[in-house]
Amino acid sequence: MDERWYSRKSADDVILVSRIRLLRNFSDYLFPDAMSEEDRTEIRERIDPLLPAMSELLGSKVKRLPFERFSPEEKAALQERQLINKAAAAADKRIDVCASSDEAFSLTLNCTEHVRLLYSRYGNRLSDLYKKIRPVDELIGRGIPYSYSERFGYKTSTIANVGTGMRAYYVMHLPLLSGTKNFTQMTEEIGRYGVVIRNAISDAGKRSMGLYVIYNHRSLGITEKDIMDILTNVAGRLAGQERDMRMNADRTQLRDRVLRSYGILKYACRMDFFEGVLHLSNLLLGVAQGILHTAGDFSVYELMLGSQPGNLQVYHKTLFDEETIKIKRADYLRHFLTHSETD
Amino acid sequence: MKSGVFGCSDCYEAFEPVLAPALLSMQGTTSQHGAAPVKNEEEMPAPDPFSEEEISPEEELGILEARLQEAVREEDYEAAAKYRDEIRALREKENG
Repeated sequence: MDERWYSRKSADDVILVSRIRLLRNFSDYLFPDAMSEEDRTEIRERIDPLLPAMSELLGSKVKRLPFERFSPEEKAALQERQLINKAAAAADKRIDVCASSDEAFSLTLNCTEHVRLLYSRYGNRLSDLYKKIRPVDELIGRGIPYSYSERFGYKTSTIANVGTGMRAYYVMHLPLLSGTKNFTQMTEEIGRYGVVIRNAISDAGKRSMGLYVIYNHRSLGITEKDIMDILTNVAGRLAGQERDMRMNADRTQLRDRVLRSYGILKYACRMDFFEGVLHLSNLLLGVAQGILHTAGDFSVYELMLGSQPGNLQVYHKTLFDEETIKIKRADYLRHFLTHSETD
Repeated sequence: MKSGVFGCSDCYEAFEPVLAPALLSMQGTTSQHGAAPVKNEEEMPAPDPFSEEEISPEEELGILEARLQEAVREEDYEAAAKYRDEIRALREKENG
C-alpha cells in the first residue's frame, strides 16, 4: 500500500494542490445518459485489462474499487477526498471507480461521461501532472476509440466541457489576501482571463475558510498548454500577493491568530466541520510561517479531508448522529495536535 | 437529447446548426484547438508533414488550400482566415 499523496506535508505554502481532470467518451457506445446496462458491463470489462499498464505509467497500483457494494458513507468519504464527484457519489445507475493506491489518480466510468480521469498532487505542478495523465488517456483511447472530431475535439455529454475535455485546478490557501477589501474586485479581474475562483470549502453563510479553488472556464478553442499556462500565471500572481501580505503582517497578530486556533483545536471536545476547517486554515498559515511546528509528519490538508463526516464514520466503521460526529471530529483533531509544538 | 445532455457521438453533428450559438456563448468559440487522441496505427508517431524539409512549396500550398476549403465548408472562418494568411505569406515568399 503506497502512502496516500496528501499524507505528507505540502511542499508549497500558498499553491496547495494541483489537479487535472480529463473527460472522454467512446465513439462505439451511446453516452452514459442513454447507454444500456450491457454497455456499462462491456466498458468495465474492456477497461479492467488496462489497469496493470496504468499502474506502470503512474507508479502506483491502480485497482477497480468494489464501488457497487459501498455504503453511502463510503461513497461520501471518496467524494470528500476528491476521488469522485458528487454525481458519482449520488449515481443511481451502475458506475465504476478505479483508483491508484496513493489516491493521486482516479478513473470514474460511465457516470456523466464514459471516462473521467483525475490526477492530484501537492504544489504547483500542473504540467507535471498533465505529462503523467496524458499517457493514461492515450492508453485508454488506443484500447477503445474515443468520440472525437477535428471540429469539436473530445465530445462530452454537455458543451460545457467539449474540446479538450480538460479542467485544470489549483487549490490555493489565501487566508490574508481573502480578508482584504480588494479581494472581490480581484476575483472579478481573474474572471476576465477565463479563470473561475470559488471557495474550496464554504458553509451555508458563505464564510470564507481562506481556501480557494481556481480553474479554467473554457475547454474549447484553447490548447491544454494554454489552459495550464493561464492558470499558472493567475495562481502565481495571487500567491505573490498572499506571500507579500504574510511578510508584511504584524508578527504578533499573526501568532495570535494561529495560536488561538491551535488552542481551540487542541482542547475542544466537540467541533463543527466548518469551524474546524477555519482553525485548520489558520494552523496551515502557522506551519507555513514557522509559528507552529508539527512534530509528526501529518499534513494539515489531510486533517481537513479526514475531519469530514463521511471519512470520520468510515474511519470508525460506525454510523454516528450529528452530535457524535462533532465529538469524534474533536477527538481526531486533538489526537494529531498533541504531537505538534509552537516556537 | 434532453436538457442539454448529449446521448451519443453523433449528436454534435446532428445538432450542429443550433450548437454554434450555444458554444459561442459558453466557450467563446466553436472549434477545437487542443490535442487529438492517438490512434493504434500511430503508436510509432507519424511524421508531421510540415516538419519535413522534403515537402515542396507547391505541395504545402496545395495542403493549405485544401484546409482552407475545408474550413470554409465547415464555416470555421477563424481557421479559414488563418489558412488564407498562410497561403498569402507563402505565395509572397515564392514570388519575392
